[in-house]
Amino acid sequence: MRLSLLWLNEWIDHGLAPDKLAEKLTSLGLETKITEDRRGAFNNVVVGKVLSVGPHPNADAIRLTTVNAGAEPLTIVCGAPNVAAGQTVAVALVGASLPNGMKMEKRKIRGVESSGMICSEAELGISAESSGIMVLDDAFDAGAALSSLLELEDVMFEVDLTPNRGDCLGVVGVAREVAAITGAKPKVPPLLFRVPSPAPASGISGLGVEVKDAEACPRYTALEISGVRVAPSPFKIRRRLLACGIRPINNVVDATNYAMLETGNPLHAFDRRFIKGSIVVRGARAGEEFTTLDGKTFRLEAGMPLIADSEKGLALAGVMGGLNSGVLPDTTDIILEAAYFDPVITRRTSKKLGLGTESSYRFERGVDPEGVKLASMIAARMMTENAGGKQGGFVDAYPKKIQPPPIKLRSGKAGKILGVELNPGRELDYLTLLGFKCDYGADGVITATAPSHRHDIKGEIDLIEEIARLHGFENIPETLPRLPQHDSSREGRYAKRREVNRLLVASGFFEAVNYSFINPDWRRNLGLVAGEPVQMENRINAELSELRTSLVPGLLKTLSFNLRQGEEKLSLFETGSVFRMAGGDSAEEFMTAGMMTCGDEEIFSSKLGRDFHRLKGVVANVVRAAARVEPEFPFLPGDAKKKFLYGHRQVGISVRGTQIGYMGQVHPLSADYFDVHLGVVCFELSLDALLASVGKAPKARPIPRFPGIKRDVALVVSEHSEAGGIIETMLGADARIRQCRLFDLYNGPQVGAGLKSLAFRLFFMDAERTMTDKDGDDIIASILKLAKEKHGAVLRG
Amino acid sequence: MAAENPVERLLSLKGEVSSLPFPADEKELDALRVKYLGKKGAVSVVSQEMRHVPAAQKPEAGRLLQEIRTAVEGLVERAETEIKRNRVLREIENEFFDATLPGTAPEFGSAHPISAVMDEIVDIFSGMGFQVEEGPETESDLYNFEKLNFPPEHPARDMQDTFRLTGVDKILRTHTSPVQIRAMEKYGAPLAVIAPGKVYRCDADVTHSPMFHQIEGFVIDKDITMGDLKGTLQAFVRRFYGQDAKIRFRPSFFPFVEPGAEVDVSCVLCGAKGCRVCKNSGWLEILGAGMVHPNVLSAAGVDPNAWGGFAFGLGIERLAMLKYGVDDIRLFFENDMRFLRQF
Repeated sequence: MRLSLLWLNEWIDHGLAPDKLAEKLTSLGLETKITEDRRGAFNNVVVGKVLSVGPHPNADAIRLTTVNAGAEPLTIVCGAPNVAAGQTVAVALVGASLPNGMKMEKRKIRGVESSGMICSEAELGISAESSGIMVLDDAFDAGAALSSLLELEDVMFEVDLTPNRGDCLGVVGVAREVAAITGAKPKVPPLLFRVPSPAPASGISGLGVEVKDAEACPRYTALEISGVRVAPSPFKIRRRLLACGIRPINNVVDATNYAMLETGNPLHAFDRRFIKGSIVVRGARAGEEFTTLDGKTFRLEAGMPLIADSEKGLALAGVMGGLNSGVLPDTTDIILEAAYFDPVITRRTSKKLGLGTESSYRFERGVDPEGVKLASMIAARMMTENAGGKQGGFVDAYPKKIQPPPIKLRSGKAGKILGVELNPGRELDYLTLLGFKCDYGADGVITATAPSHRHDIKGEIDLIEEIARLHGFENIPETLPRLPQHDSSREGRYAKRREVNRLLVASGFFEAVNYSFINPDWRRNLGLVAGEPVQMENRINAELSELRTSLVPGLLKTLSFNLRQGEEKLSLFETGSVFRMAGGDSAEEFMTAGMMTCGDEEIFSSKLGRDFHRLKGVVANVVRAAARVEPEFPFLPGDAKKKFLYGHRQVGISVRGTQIGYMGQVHPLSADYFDVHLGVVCFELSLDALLASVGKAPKARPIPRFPGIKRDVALVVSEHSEAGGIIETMLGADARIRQCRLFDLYNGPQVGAGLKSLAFRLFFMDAERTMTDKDGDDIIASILKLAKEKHGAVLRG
Repeated sequence: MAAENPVERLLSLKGEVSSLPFPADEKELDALRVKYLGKKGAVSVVSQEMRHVPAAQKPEAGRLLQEIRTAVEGLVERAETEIKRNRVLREIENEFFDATLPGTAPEFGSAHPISAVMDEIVDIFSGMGFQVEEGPETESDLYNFEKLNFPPEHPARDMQDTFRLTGVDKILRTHTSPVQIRAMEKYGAPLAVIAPGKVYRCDADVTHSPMFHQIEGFVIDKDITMGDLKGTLQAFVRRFYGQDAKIRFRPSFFPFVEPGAEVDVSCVLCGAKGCRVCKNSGWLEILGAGMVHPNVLSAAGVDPNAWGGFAFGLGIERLAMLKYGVDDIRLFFENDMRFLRQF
């Protein structure tokens, strides 16, 4: 909310410099910043009387004027089309500097020296109006400083109000806060002294007011004003409205907006000509059409509160008036509405219609039900002062009195929650300064009733917060609590994520963080079928419309992006949630996925798929370290195979027989869709499943007492034999075979066409005795025999 | 060939070997070995002559021969060691070795800057005794708003632009605060929790991302005060920003805490002197905090008359942007290697 210092000063003498004022308000919870400081910006800008206007000797479009600016008549060159003799104008004298940074000097314009400038509103920084000079009230004296006459030297603040403080959405509300923190008394501004003191007559002749929906409209007032002459508002009013971000319209509508900015209570002016019969506050009929002031037509839902007459809707209660009954240039008689509309109901209407206004914004946050009349009086006064109106009858329908409940503050409770020493006297002082009515009971309990504008005060804790605000958060001493103890088993998943991430980083992978929402085309193209995806109803970007069911699409996008930037070798991983629909609800799983490019290997041509095995090794390391168990990499059955991976270059990742993930090489056609034209291998595993399979801490075993022996053996097999099966056979040949590690794979000319050689280093050990060479020979013999039977393997010569 | 007095000859040989010069290199050593220990060397020759020595002189001659042999062999052995040592030292001294060749171990990757900052913050609070808790990213309105004291149709809901999901009564959580409710329902009181995670708001520009990260922290116990909240957060900023970091509390509003506060830290970039980043205020807004609202405790099944607590929440991206001098939040989610490699 924009706040004018000069306007605020009309309501309170706080004696604070603008920066101190901002600081005080901020310390109360009204975050306030100075946005514009115009003090001293209008030196040497004075009132001038245009004495004569004549042609410029060297130019047709500009003219020479003589202006009385308080001393000797000045010659001023002026290009404005509307300049005329006899006008009272704003003159920037030589030496003036204007808010737009312009400095006035004596200078020649097309050969004629100009002693200053006649200003437009834009040049004075008052509005965007630059088509002509600003014409002032003739009552102003030549040579008078403009700033004091037009209150130009204002300071503007931006007050960032939290949604609970609807009461501060007006100058009066801020003045109340300033009063509470400074102890200064708010004052009644001069305008109000001129408000007719006798209350207006009760009732408007010829107009009934009936509130049918008291839930939506606990209070409705109507005030009759007749004989207005619609015209622009005086400069001062327009300037204040503009400074606060509201476009001036005319002296009637401006009065309602001005009163709203001042009190926080929105108002609406109807042209009486268009009200047929009585004013009725009622719920709309289903499908009832209504056209707002700005010409938009809405089909209303049943029950949306409407201000209507006997025939039609006149205004969407608390939101916006209708096109059919607003103030027109020839309007003379006004019915001025000031009301209290229910916050929740107003908000519901505004949200459903997608129509948010200054008015609905304030009603949603709760206006002061007791301030309704004041707001009406202020607007009425302005209409009589500035539009020549005459105040008539007044109707105040208040079917549902808004009564703040008394709230109890237990003795010592505030101090206990805040951690400060507070005596009841202090508590009473603070609450009283904020307008609470308080009783101090014999039991030490304070019973406080909030002022009518404080809708946010509902319970004891609210009173404590008020006390804390005035006591000052800076006066609460810092202490350290003794924290309750917990058991580390509660923290499994987060710790496991960090462990897995660290292992991947140490394996050369860079962590990526992608959005959780993806383009469904990415998923479809990959043929990801695991689970129905969760769709988003609203989105930031039309394409990213569903929650990811896998981390792979995002990583492929990231890979593709970086390849386009000229990267060549990439290893990326991501950890995060994936989502799917499950039994009518959304289910989440926490996953880690890794992806790396396959060196410089040409797609389609790789025989060995070395990077597949490199990644397999990384995955094995990670699972072994994080789950304390050796993973298996089983082949997946046909229907479990991933469509976006090569049919033969994919395996599951399992722990103790439970599958926790998969890995493989991305199919070239899938990669192609992502504009990736080199080999890519990836894995994805469920951290939740990994966590569930973590083994117990190991129990130490004794170190073997007898040395073992090492043997190397190279087998020649068909090039389509799988090493996994051969290793399994070898390990099964004798219980004393403790390790079998492949160290060479060769399929060149030396072993013959269609064959390959696999070389293994074996380690044998007997727990009971030292093994002999003969033991070794025997084991090798049984290995060779089995390998020959099962795999047709022969010892490489 | 036989000398007239073999003992004399042995004595003379002994005299000779006792004053042999120490061989300077392998060549001299070889010459020495050949001259005395070779097949035709002096020591071999005299030992062959021993059979001609008269029996009476044999013991003395034998002793002398042994002395001579020991002396020569000792010399040879010492020389061998010394010469080898000199050679090794010389070789090491004179070798060419290129220690500037790059290391050959596989390169490390790196954690994402958001993870790094998140882990750092979690570690600080873990060290104080907070337990780590996580919650679901798809949340119900009940947990994301209602139990946190955001009534339906309350304007406070406008503070958080929500992503709704289709065909399921869920939203993407707009903050990590629902973990407060979930943890209290799961463990009851007392409790001290730090809850990191992803959150979502329908908003995107230079400082807003539709997905970002928060850390929620809260303590529920008897006699927890707002002073405890201030002390805890002051301890945190000291650990995170250094001993000189100060905090400032300003009243603010979050429905699930009361009193509620915005917490500023003295600007870490200019030492609170005022700079572009802190907009010359000397302060940076880094988190929201307050005392857990009694309605929140009740909603989570904790008796607000017996228990109280404080809670705070901070945005990781904001802290990471300040820490690493990143001025566009979108960089965190583009995953450009030229960005990621810097961390």
